[in-house]
Amino acid sequence: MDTTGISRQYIKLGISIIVLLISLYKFSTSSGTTRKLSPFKELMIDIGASVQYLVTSSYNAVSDTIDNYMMNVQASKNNDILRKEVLDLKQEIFSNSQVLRENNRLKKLLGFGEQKQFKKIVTQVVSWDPSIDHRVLRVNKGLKDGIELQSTAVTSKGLVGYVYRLTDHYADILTIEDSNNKIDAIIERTRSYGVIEGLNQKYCFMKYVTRTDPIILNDLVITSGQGNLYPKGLVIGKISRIERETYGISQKIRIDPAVNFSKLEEVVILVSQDNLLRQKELQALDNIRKD
Amino acid sequence: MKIKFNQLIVGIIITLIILFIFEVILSTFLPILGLGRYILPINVLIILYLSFELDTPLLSVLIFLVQYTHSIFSVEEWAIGTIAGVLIGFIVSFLRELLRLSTPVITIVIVQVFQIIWFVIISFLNYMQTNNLNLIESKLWLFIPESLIISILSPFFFIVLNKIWKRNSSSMVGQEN
Repeated sequence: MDTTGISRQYIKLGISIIVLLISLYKFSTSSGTTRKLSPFKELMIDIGASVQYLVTSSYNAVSDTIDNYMMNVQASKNNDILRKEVLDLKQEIFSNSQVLRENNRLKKLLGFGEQKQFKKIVTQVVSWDPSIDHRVLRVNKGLKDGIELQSTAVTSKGLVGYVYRLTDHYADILTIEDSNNKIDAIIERTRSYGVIEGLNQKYCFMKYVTRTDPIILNDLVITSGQGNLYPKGLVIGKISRIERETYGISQKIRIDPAVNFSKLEEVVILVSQDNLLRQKELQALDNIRKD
Repeated sequence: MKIKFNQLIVGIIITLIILFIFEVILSTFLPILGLGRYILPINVLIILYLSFELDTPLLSVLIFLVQYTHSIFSVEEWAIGTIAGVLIGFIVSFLRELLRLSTPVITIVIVQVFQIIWFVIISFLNYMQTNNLNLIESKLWLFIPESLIISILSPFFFIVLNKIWKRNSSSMVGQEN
């Protein structure tokens, strides 16, 4: 190898070591509950997400047109049945409203605190994270629509995750299936506490539930409200497998999420007034962990 | 292959545009089709190609650019992939004389081997961060089909990249054009 060749190899080695060291520094400082973005990265994500949104909405528009036509044919047949059901439901709503009033009166009498009010923002799923290491979805609303970091994401079926990364127009939601997401949860029937962890699979695991707790298959698991991230009482899923040994102090529980992530199209983001306070608290916890 | 600086700029811009298009397609269409769990890591394939085919001091910078573009679509930070990519670059530079992507079958085998090395590096880094072995096991089951598909696609993908980088497809790694 000539002198130029050798110096070229040294330059290559030098640049590689510099890039490697910068990457290692970035990697070692990147853990945390949320991801802060530089203005440039934010701009790049907005551009990328806009293209993703264009592709997804075009596909949806075409498939919706076809679906609507097919459904219209069936709709007239269902119309009569639904009219009858509406009448029944009106009756039920009326009787439920009476129960609600009674419930409110009793709550006041018992001195219960007011339930937290959330601003609900409906968003459309734009894309999924193209990496096997993460189960993250991107939605088409962001900071300018009122979404904040760590806001909870839900559907009518249950919990989806929380807002992990945010730009002006788009938000990335770390789903409960992601391995970086830990949820403080309780089993509704037995009130047993545990922590749910994702494994980037279709299911999650619940850890730290005491071995002697009499849990059974199909028990409902809900958020405990502890951990200061998710509101209490959101449905997470059902128990689908229990591994209970004759030794040890806890049992291994598999949870099937209530939300069908493979057919997720819309997500509701719950924005609480407490989010800012919560962010500061979690930031403080992150700082302690780093120290 | 030693290349001129302006050729490098043009090549990497076109490569990043291709990566951008693939990332959009993979992150939108595959989930719509219910295949969201099997997303192909095109960024890994591009980094392997650059490591195999380019003999430039700026290889690690190119790897960083590929990973940065990937991180636009993924919460996976660019750092972890860049570390793996640069380490792969080191390994390839030592084995350059031995690696010959002369036939599609050899290309498939070599790409598969280096994807396994990539997986080992990433898993090790993830384990250091999470201290969770179950996670690595669960990723392994996704990695196997994904890596096989990527390896099978690699000869075709490399032909496209050869055209972009103006490289003779019959030449081998380590040979100068």
